[in-house]
Amino acid sequence: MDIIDEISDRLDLLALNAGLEGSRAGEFGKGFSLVAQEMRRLAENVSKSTTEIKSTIQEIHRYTQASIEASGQGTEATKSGARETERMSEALESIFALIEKSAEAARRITVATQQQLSSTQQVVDALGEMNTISNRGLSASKQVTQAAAELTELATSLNQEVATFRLDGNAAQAWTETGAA
Amino acid sequence: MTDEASVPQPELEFTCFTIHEQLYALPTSSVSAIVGSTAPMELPRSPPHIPGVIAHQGRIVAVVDVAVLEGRPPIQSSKRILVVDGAGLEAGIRVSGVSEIARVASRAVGPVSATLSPPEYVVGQLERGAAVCLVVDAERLLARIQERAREVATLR
Repeated sequence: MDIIDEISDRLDLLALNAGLEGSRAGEFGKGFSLVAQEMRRLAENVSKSTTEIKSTIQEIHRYTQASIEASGQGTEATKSGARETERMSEALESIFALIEKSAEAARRITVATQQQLSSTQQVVDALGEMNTISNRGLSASKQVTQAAAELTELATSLNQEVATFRLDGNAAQAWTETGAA
Repeated sequence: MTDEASVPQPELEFTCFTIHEQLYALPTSSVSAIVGSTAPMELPRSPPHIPGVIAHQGRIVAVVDVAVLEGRPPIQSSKRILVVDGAGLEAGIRVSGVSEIARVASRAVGPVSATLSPPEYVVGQLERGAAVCLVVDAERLLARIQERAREVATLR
């Protein structure tokens, strides 16, 4: 591009000097001046085209650079995604381990609850037994009380029966001593 | 009565060029050549408006920056140097660019507008499209360059 620019610049310079020479030749140089003008126009077109080509090349370069950068960013994003997936996998493994531990703890709690339930049932059974025994004791006590009452009644009745009999003094003393013995 | 439009008008030819954004014109008769702008060889103790010299067709030609001569910033991106003859002198005028070799009717050149307060070497103006082109007298310009060089030398 620089070479084309330089050639274009030299062509422009040549055309300018040709124009000068043409102007010095007066009327005879008019044709020469016109040719010089055309040469200059050509040089200007070449210069403009070179600028446009430079601009296009720069644009292509810019797009290529942007494409490379985008590709690099894509690669980085993919790597980042892979890293995130790995982290997620690790996190999931941790979660699974915690779930496993929680399940184990739940199983233990269930067993402990069942054991506690069984123990409670045993306590309830024991209390029922105790109640039965207590009830039995109460019944026996009632029977004893009733028997005692009957005995009291019998003793009273017997005492009344005995009271109907009268003994003299000696006999009474003898009975008392016998009874005391 | 003579019809003015039918009378052939004399034509003038100018080399049109720019210094910064301003368009100027020099008669082609005073421009001997246009050369590509190369870095001039600097000379010690040369005035600021003469950045150096170039070799042109076996001669040493002083390069002049007219912008500096008029107290403006120097031309940074010069592409061309006009080799100008006049008053027995030859100088290379550094310009921003050469726009065209123009052939115009002599009546197209008018007096320079006073509002522009141009330097003494600007002797007229003509229109090129929407732009005003200042016509320069080569001899006056070269005389001004020489005069300024003398002033600088005197100050030293």
